[in-house]
Amino acid sequence: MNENLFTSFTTPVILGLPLVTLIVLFPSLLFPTSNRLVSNRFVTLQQWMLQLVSKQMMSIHNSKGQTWTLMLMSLILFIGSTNLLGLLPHSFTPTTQLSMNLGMAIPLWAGAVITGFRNKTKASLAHFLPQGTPTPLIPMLVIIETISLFIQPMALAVRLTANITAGHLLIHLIGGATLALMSISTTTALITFTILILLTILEFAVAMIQAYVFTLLVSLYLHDNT
Amino acid sequence: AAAAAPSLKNAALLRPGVLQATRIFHTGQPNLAPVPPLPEHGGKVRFGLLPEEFFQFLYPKTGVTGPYVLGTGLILRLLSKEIYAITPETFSVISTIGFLVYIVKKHGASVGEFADKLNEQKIAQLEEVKQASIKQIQDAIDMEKSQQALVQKRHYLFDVQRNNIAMALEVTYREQLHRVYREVKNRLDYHISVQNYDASEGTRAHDKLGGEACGAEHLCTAGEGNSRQVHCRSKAARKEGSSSASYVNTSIPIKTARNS
Repeated sequence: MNENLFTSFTTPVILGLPLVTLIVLFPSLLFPTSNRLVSNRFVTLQQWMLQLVSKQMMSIHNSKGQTWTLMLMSLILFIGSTNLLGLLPHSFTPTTQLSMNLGMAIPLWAGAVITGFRNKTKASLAHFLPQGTPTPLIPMLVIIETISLFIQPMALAVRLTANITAGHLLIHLIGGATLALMSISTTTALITFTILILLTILEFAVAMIQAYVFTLLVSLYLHDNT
Repeated sequence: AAAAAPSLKNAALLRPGVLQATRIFHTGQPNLAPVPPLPEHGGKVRFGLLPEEFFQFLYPKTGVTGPYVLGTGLILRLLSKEIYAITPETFSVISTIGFLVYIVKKHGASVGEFADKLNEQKIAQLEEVKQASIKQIQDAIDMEKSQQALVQKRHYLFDVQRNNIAMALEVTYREQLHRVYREVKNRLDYHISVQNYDASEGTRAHDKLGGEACGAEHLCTAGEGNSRQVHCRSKAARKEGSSSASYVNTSIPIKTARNS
């Protein structure tokens, strides 16, 4: 069972060919584009949702920050759809791989910070020292703020990975517990099954929330730096 | 436009703007052959997976329960031969798929209606703009028509005004004519009455009384008083008349003097 527990997290390879590319590209098939004014229900709902999310997220930025809209919207759609698809049985979730999350987090964070340093150098450097600190504490505080700045991309990536991986693991474990308890005592198995159902609902919520949190934090870093 | 579009497409292979030129709108059929329209609803399915035709296909041979027995047998064979093994994943399958089915059954129709409502709102917005524009133009047409009708009736007003002015002019002219006539008649009447009086009584009365100036008290009878009054009056009038006559007479020599 130990072997089985972690096999769902290995990158799928079929006959030595990386299938993971196809899996990462697959969600793009689920967002069709349509040039019509009045399209089918699927496209209409997606357009409405995208409009809602983009309005809610990009309204706090100035015009310079709003140039990142396409990037942030594709980010939230990608993370949301891959997380939700990963909840289907026997599927692989790309966002459980730390490598991929780091690959998403580090360039975005670095882009925001470097934009800030290039365009508003003084203001960006001023972020290292919060207002109203007593003078003896300044050197300490600068070091701490630097560390907190450099930890941001790590935190972004690890947060996403840990949440999704933990969710999948829990589902697996509780499913295993239910299976094991089935032969021992059916009532306990039913209770465990109820727990599993609740966990599934939570996982659906977590999938979408994590996408939102990731994108929100990137947009916050952007807001600080534009 | 449909005839022009293929020529536009064949214009060049990769010149800039050709992609936009090929993206043509409202040219009728997007395909070159008459494509049959898509059906509104898809094929009917049972359990969301098995098409209804399968059940109809098996019905003549096995009746209603045939496909169900086949399905049960297949599933039991998969399970018993462990072609499909029960793992912890099975329970997550049950919970996930069960959750999804429950959500779709409960909220599917309302989400579909919401999507339809969104589309309807878009169309209604555009329709409203169109209707407002049509109404505006219709109102303009109606106002124009009413104003044209008013213009047709304007000549009555002008006729009345013209008649009024003509009448006023006529009245003024006649009034002046009458005044002139009256003045002239006045003067001529005076001269005539003077002449008449001179001719009839004036000289007799004048001789009778010796031609003295009146104004002093007289001893006379009523009749004579009258005649004396008439005489005095006429004398005064004669004086006046003579004065006016002399005035008239002197005016003439003055005129002639001026002329000469």
